[in-house]
Amino acid sequence: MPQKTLRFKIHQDGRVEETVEGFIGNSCNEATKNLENALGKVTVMNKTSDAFLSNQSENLTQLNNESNVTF
Amino acid sequence: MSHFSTIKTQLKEAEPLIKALNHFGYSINQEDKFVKGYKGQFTAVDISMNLPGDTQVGFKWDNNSNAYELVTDLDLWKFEIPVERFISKVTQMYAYQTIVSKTQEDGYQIVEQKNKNDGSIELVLTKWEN
Repeated sequence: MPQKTLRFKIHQDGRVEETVEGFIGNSCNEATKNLENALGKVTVMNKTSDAFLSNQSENLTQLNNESNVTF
Repeated sequence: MSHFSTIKTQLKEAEPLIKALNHFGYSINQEDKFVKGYKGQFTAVDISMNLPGDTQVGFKWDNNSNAYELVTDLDLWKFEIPVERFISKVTQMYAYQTIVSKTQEDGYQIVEQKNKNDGSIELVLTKWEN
């Protein structure tokens, strides 16, 4: 019986930091999807995998349109 | 796996928004759905209320931002706090009400709640899986 934990810090300006613990694989993202949709826009998400100890960070607010391609 | 997210709160749903407004003791005006807004023009809103001091405020669904936006006439703003502070307060409480109701639906329980010195609210919720 693993325990699932959600931690929130709701800042004065309405920004919310959310930490989700105790999920296996991608069920972690599914678990809070509805909540995140009702709350607003996810601006930063860091996934931490205990198995690989890798940090993957996606900044969803920054579009990659700054390409400096020279020919 | 766990994840850490930062969310920019937007007023997406009416129910937690009304709960947030009620939390501060502001009453919703069910009769009048018009608020004097930009340049004194009357604007139809989805949720309207009167703040103490006769300041008229409404929230109107905005298709561009996909959220409720505040409608008020800033020239008539006579409330005790500036409008920016009012929006922040309502937004923070909206986030709190949304988190509490959505997580309860999923079977989570609040195990810790703190009002911090920096004005933030910290919440910890848990659920045991069978």
